Amino acid sequence: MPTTILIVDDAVTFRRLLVMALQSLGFHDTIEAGSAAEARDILQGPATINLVISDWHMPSETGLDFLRWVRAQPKFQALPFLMLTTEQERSHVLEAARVGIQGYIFKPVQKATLFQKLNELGFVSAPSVTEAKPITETTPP
Amino acid sequence: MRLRLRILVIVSLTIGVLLIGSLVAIRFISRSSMDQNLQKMTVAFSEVEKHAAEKNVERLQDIYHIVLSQIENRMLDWAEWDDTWKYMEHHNQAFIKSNLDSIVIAKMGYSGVLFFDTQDRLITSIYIDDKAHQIPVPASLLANLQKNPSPLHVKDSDDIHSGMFIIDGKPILFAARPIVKSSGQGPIRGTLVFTLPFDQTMMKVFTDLSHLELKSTIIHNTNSVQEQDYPSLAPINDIQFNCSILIKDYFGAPSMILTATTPRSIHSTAMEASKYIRTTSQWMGAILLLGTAVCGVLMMVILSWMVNRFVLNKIEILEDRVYHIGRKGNLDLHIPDLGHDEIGQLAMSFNTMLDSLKEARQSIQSQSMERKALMDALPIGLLALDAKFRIAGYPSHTAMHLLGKDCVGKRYGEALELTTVQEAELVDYLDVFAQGLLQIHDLHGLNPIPEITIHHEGEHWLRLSYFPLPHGPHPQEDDQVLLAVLQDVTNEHIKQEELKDLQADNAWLKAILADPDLFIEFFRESFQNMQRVRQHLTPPLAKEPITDAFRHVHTLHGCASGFGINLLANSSVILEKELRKILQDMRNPQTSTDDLHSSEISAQASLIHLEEVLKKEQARLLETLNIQSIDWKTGPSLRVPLHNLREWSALLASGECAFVFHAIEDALRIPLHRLLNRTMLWFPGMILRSNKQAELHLIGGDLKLPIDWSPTLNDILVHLLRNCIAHAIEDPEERSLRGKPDMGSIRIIATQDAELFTLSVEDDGNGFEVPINEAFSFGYSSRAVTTDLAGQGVGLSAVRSMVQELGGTIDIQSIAGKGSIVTMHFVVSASSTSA
Repeated sequence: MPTTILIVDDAVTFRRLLVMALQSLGFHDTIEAGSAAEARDILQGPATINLVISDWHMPSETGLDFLRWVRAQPKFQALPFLMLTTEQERSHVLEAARVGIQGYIFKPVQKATLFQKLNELGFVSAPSVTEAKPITETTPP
Repeated sequence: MRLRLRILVIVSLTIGVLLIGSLVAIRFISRSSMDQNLQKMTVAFSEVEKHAAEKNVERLQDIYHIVLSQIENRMLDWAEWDDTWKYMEHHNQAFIKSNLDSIVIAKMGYSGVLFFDTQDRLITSIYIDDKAHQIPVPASLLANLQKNPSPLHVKDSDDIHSGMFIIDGKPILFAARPIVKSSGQGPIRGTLVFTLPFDQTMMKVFTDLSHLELKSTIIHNTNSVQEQDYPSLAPINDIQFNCSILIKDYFGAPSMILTATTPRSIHSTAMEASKYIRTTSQWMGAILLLGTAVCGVLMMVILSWMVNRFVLNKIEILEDRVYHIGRKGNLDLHIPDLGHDEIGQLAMSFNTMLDSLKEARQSIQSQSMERKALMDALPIGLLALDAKFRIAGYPSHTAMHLLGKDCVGKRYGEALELTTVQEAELVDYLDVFAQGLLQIHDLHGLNPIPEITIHHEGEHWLRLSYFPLPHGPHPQEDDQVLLAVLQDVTNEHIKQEELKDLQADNAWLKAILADPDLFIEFFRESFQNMQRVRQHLTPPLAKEPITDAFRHVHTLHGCASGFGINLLANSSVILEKELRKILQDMRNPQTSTDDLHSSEISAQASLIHLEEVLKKEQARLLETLNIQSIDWKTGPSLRVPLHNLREWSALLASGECAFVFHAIEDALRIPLHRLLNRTMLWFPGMILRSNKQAELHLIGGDLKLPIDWSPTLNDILVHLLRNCIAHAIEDPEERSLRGKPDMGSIRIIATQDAELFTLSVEDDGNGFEVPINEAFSFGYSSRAVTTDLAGQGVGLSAVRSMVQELGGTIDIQSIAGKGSIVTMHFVVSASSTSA
């Protein structure tokens, strides 16, 4: 069973970067969401999400708001959730830890850290049978 | 006490239930089974009574028959008497006279003697009343005797008849025998009949024989009597019992009832006995009940006493002792000997347990002492924090040394001398840690204060880390929840600083050794520049001179950093900041003159400090190079090998001036890689301070250029490279996103075609996105936020003016997203090109 990872970040560049990093680590099954609202729709949709990686800074609704929503859903109370933030914003992680996260990743994301974190959470990369999804969107200015 | 009460209640209840049970049992037994038995007994007695009555009846009947037999037998003398037999033939009166006398008859007890001939005719008779007076034979008697079947009809000598007649309402017994010879031989001459009244005398005979009280009743009306009712046996009452037999007359008609009234001795005995048994059994029951009750109460008392004596008292002692031992925690206390029963064994086991506990405690104490000793011996400080993040328990020796002996009970943040903001941040972190909301290594990564300086008995650098202590889900205030590890890294820090200085020194020394001239030139130039800065800082201040001053200081900062002269770099940074502030103030129309003036004064002070540092460093340089002084005006010095000078001297002597000129010209040129030494040394340090990754390559470094181009050319390249790193080269992530290698590449390419020397700087960065002219305009900065490296408003215009100083031209080509090339053209004299 491949691991489906939901990436929530308003910055397309960063999402792409993370998708590429995950693909190079053998995690090909990723779904991207540009906002918390979009992520909510995806979570409530038919796809089974195994892990959520969400940025903290997002317009209109922060990653913490989104995390609160996720934890308020009975079926997502144990859904692995990783918070993305910067090293200068450690207090964010503490705040999120009180709501319930399985870990955090500091930006800029180091591939090795990401890999280690996924392994810790018990996600083993699937053998790369599917090809990496082609990047269709262009880098924003 | 409760146990005692409970046992008492249980025993009482048991005894009570036992008593009630036995009462019910006794009642039940006496009611049912005894009644049954008594009834059986009564029946048995009745049987006995009936049997006795039957016997009486039999006896009466027997007596009647015996009486008749006696009559028959006593007649025998008369009936089988020859005289009688003869009389019947001859009717001789003598026989009558001598034998049949009324007195004799009365004496014999008969009432009549009658002789009948064979034709049933009365021959003679004698019959008397009860007063022994002879009376005629009652006619009814004769009639009865002669009535068929007549008892007078006898066939042989043994044919005897007897029975009863009721004659004139009176019972009469009779017997009839044939009159034969004394030998008993016939022929029968008639029938002899004896009669006897059933009177009081006869009744007496019956009474004597039967020993019964008798009463006779004559039946007058034969119909009133039912034959089948007799013999009748019937109790009259509890005292008397009647047995009656029916005596029939000779013809079978009921004629007399003979009733024997007997006392009911058996019945009354039975009644007595049953009454006795009943009474006795009731008494017995009562006694039994009382006995049981007494036994029960006695048993209860004894049982309670025994339970109390052998169990409860011991348990009380045991409980009391255990409570004391538990409360005082004094394991030296023991439970006294409670005997050899199970409780005693329990007490002994308890004592054994206490001993083992004591041993264990001692061993734990000694272990914890060892552990404490070990903790104290450790160079790291260990202390426990309670749920309110106060220092709890026994901090290790080192911890006490670091935080003070009075640290126990203090807030951890207070002991660490944190500011309120810092403490709030730390408490927030420790709270998440204590709750274990994240993995430990994740938590370690979030430590807001991983290192801290504290000032307790001198300055100490502490590295702080935490580990969770096992605690329950809802820890009490006093529970120890976290272990804080304080590592004194002061020495490490000192070493690091020393190492940094040493590395700086090394870098410095290396640079000096590689190119002493460069260093001397650097100081010379720096002094000159500082003099200019001093002039620019003299009021009235103007925008342009200050910008120039800023550029000089900025260059000094970059070079000093590149050479690793930290003191100088730090001092120049301070001045740089001051100048930047002045520039900002000047741009701001609201700035007052006083503000500007104070900024100016502090900038001058910083400049004085910078110059002092510069002098010190220069002194160090001189010391290192073992030179007394330098004539700064001569510029960079050259080391020319002695044999070259001798050669040139000889050549001059021989008139080969042109050759010598060329030789000297050539000696004044140094390879580009040496000339750009400052830039090449500065670059790695600058990269480290940025968040970019780039490599610098020098191509054509063997080409020679005049040594006096060095300051300007280095300045140009430092500017270009700085801008390149700040604006052109992207972050590694961005680079990888664009399919570029993480490591950026900057190449300095030098080429020479005759007198045209071309120097280009190529990068694979983002390229310029503004018109070139604008890039060269004064104060242009492509970044909104100024950084350490670039964007301070000293744009490419400065570079163009420096290139022009060297008589060169500059051109920039840029492809957005791909990179840019800065090309500079210089003219050098042809003679200098030959290597």
